[in-house]
Amino acid sequence: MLFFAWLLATVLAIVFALVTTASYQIARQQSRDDLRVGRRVFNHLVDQNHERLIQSANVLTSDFGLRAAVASRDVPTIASALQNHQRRIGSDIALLSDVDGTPVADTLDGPQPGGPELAPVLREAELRGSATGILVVGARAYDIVTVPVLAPQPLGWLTLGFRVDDDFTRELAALTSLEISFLHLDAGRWRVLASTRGHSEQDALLGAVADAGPLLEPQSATLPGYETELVAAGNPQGATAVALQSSTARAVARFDELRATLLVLSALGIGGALVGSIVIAGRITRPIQALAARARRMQEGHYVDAVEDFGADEIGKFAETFEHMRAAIVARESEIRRLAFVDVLTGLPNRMAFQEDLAQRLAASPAPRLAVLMIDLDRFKDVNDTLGHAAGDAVLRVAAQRLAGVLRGYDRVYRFGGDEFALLIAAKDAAEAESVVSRIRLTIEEDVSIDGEPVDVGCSIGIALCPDHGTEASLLVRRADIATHESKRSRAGATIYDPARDDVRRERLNLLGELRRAVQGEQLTAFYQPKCALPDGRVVGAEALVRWQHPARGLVPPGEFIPFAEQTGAIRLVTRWMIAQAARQCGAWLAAGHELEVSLNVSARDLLDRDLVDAVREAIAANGIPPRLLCLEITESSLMEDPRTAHETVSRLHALGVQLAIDDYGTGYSSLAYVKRLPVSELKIDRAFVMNMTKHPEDAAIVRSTIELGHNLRLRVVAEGVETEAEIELLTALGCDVVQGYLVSRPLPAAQFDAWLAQDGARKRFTAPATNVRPIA
Amino acid sequence: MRTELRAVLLALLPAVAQAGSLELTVRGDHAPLADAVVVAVPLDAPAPAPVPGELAIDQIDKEFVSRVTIVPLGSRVKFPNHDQIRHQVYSFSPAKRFELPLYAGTPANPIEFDMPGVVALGCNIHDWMLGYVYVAPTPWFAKSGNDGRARIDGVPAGRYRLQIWHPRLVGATETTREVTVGDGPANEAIELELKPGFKPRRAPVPGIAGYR
Repeated sequence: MLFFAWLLATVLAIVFALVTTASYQIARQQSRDDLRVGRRVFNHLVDQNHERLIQSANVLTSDFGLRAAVASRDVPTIASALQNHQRRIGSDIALLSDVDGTPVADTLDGPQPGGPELAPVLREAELRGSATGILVVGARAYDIVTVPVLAPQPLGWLTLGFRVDDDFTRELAALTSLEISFLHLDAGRWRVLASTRGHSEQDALLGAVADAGPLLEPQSATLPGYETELVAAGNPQGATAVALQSSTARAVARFDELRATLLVLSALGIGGALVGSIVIAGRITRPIQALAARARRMQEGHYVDAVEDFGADEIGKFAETFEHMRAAIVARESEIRRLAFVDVLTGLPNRMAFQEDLAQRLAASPAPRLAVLMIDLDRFKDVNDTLGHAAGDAVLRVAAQRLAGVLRGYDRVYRFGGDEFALLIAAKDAAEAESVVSRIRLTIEEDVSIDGEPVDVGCSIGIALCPDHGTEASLLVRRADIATHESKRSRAGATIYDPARDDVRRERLNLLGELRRAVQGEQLTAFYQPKCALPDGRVVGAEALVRWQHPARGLVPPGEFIPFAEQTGAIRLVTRWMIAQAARQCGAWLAAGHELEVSLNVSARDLLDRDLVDAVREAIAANGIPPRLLCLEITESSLMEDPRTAHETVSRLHALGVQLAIDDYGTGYSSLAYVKRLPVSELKIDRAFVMNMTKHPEDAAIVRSTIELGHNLRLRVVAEGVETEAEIELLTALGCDVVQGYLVSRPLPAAQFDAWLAQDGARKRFTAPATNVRPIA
Repeated sequence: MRTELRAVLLALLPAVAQAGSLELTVRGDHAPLADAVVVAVPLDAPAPAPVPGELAIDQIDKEFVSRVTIVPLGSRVKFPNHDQIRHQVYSFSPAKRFELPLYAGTPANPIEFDMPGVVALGCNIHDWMLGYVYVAPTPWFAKSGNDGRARIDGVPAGRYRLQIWHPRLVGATETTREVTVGDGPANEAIELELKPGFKPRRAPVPGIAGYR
């Protein structure tokens, strides 16, 4: 802003300089003009004076008496005539010379001029009829005219003149507006005869002409403050001169007022610009700078402070708009944050919020004592699938409310998505965490009523403690996840992360990798466990069971790797391999004259594999066996994961002609009504019921009713895990169709199984004669 | 002028047998000069006095006519005024000082010029009126015409001093030259140094003064 004041000052300074220069030039030009005009006036005045004087002289010379006196050289008469005339016209000198120029008479008191002083003027007069000039007599000078005295020839010369003194110059100066000095060259040196100037200026003038000789032509002289011109004054020898001077200073002075005015205006202008700059800086620049600073802060993310009030002017309105914008940004950002950190369905904070909160809490030092709880709702999928998503959502909302209800103090609950929840709770040790967990389980497991229908909700909880299980967020979360999986797997409800188990798990993961190699590397073996018909014990089939002969670990039990193979999908490779083995073995037995039905387990994953049916078809075709000799055992739960796809697969398998069995019947939740819709031909009672059958009447009742129901549905009923004679007897009595278990035989490699068949080992176990044998359908 | 010639002829009569003629061509300013007065003064013998005459110098239109008039010594001259105004003719010349008080017509008494020399005539009323009377001391004189020639006849043989004068002649007195007159005509030429024609203004002329 000051820039404009500075600019103005510069411009004004330039203008001032230009005006000064121009006015000086104009002043000089003006003083030159003054001088020229003055000189013209001066000449005119002098001419007039001379003219008058000449006329006056002519009057005198025309006087016959004077002529007579001159002609007769009557000096006293001449002198008195001169004096008389001088008085009459008021001149200062009257002088008569004879024809030769010798003075005859004059009116002077003091020194008298000689012939030589007058000679030049007389010569001029002789040539022109009259002459003018400056006559210097002693210290005095006279402005003279000379005319002849004619009678009628020249008899002599009459000279009349006025004193050239300061009065004379002042009079001329007043009329010409010039400074006037009369100079005389006396013995080679100029001196001042009369002047309007002071002594010092006269000296300056004389200094300027000091080196000049006789002045014959007008010339200019350079004198400070004055335009000066020297004019020869009526002396043919150039011995007298008039210095005409016009003051430059006076001409300049006329511009001084203009310059003073300009100076005042400039000062006012610059002052105004300065004041204006300050005002503008105060009212516009500074607020704008403040706003710009605010904008920069907002750019850096500081939105919170409101923009201060800037008044009611334009800047104020601008600031107000700016404030609206800031408020809108703050509102939008908080909404975006809210949406980013909130689960819309339950209104709980989401996984991102969890991560932020956890990171924030873990940032404290020392590490806080807290617990990360991961909660999965059990069987939520069933709810979703059977009751619909709306019901599922309702369950989630209820669960969310209930979880929120157990929170204490700074505890927080989050929903991660699906049926996954997480809690961040303060817990000084495992016991405190477990007390919270038990309250969670209590509240979650209360019945939920959705649209009037009771829904059973359970949960699996994994717990990781800080700092016991880590002080990093990701580690705590992963470990809580592992604990959750463990809960699910073991159906334990809640599990605290166990570092030792994590090692087992890691081992299992390694096993899984090795399993893949095992499938290709002939480490797997199929064992066969006979299935014998009651009551005679005739061998009707065998269940093919996979065994893993690990090169380093030896025989790995199925429980060690099958569940994880199922989790990871590696089970499909195992199942394919088993299908191929079973079909081949079945073919081999058939070729040996044993028509044995070979059954094998199919997991839930396998049922979701659309290629399973093709694999079965190929195996049957490759070995040329009747499809009915192949039986696929399906667990109840495997059908529940994706009932539609599973059902479809089951239907296609049935269409191939293979047998289907429900494995582990009684452990799941499927109703017989559901089973009835499946194209199964066999029902296997879980070993848990069989083992306790002889001790607990309830289990016996379950077995009995299951057998009855199976029969009612025209299904063959198989009992697993038969280990005692008593069980055989009871099962026989209950009308069970087929038994399988250690009592008959443990699973045998194919070669041993053949040997066992040859010995007819089974019959030894069955005391009862083979009556009432129901044919296998 | 006829009276003048007659007087000359009369003067020459006694010496006819031995008389010659003398002609002087006068020039000035590189041109033939009129109104120059030539008078021959014998050197070897005293000059015979000229025969005085009765002459007149007219004032016509405020000028003397003629401007230069040669009169033999002792002549009487009248000044007839032909103008309608009065004149006051005077002379302060040493050869003849006189004044004719204001008059019209012809003053009764003629002026007798009894001394040789130049007499300047003026009029006190009209300053520019200027005339000259040359009073010749010998009978042998002539005035140059417009062709500059002045011829004097009947001059006896012998040596002469020619006195030559003109109103514009530089110096107050005549220029002189010696000549010898024999049987034949004597022809001489002379160049005069002249000053600027001095003629008082008839009326004031402004603008001649001032410092320049």
